[in-house]
Amino acid sequence: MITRLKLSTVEQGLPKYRSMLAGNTAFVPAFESIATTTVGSTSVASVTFSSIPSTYTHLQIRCLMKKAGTGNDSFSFIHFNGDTNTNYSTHYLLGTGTGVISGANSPSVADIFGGVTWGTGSSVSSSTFSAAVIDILDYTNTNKYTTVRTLSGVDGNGAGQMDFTSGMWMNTNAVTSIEIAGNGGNFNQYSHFALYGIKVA
Amino acid sequence: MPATYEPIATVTANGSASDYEFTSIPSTYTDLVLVVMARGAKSATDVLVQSYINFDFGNNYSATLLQGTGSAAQSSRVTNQSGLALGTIPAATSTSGAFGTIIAHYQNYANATTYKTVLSRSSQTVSFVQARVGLWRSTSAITRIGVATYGDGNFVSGSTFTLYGIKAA
Repeated sequence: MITRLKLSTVEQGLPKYRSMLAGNTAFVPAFESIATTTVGSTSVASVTFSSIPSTYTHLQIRCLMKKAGTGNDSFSFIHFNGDTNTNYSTHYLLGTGTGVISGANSPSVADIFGGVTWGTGSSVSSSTFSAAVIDILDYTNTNKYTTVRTLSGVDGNGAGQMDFTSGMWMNTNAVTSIEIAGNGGNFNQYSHFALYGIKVA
Repeated sequence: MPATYEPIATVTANGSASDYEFTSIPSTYTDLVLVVMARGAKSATDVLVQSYINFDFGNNYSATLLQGTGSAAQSSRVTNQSGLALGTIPAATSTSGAFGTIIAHYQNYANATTYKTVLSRSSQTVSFVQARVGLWRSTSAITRIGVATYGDGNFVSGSTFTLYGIKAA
């Protein structure tokens, strides 16, 4: 039996808005969109979110990526505040569909591994994009190094991989800009990167 | 200020269905997030929960799995399937009271250019922790999402399914 749900018949979730009449507290969304970039007809080597406001507690970047060219899997790279020096460490756990691989680039390397990217070839079509959800926690805290975790993957109906990565920027500065750079190829048209801010109470 | 992360619809299972479908999904969001907390009624330790999109039951789905069993890390792949594997949940012979969780991200679901990639994390809670990346080989915008056991019994009463929309700037 299939139960089909229509918007008008299901029970609602959380209330979306509150009246702004006196006596009611304002509705303050905790998850807000900050900026979005979609790659146009010319591929790009990287995308950068700059002038990130300090008014959130955590950040999340949600990506859909396509690597230019025919190369297979490679991790994109994350840099903070324009720092491309060896101030990072990163680890990964990935499933290839036939085996599991774990590794690390640490300590003191020049990049954090972001989401996986994959080019176009016989195993993965031009319409197949990888996806990633990147969490950057406590990004304004000046008492901690910045920690990143990423869930990403790409499946091409016979090829691809599922990845977990984590990374650390060994700098206590607040994060004000984030660069996601291609590795082994630019980001192709329709690659999409959306930055969100998360507030706590 | 409009919310960026909004609940679209939710349902609580009554124990008499193996399949729930969200229809007429608005195209105004950027990503969709499906949150499932469920248990299967089948006489087994676990069942696989799958998704079908836009009522497509053709062999247009595939997925790559990474999982930990408590004693080993494993990876496998399925191709040309009639459903998109999301995650494994406990069933009738699993620990009483155990429900599994699945969080599935349908990225850029409304675009009519790319195939649709879905990231999901799930926990069977007793046996596995899993992550999958799945593909629906269609460039159509997603307007319907079904969640089903594909013949492996009903969802028990109290299982919940909630669809959220995330809107980028």
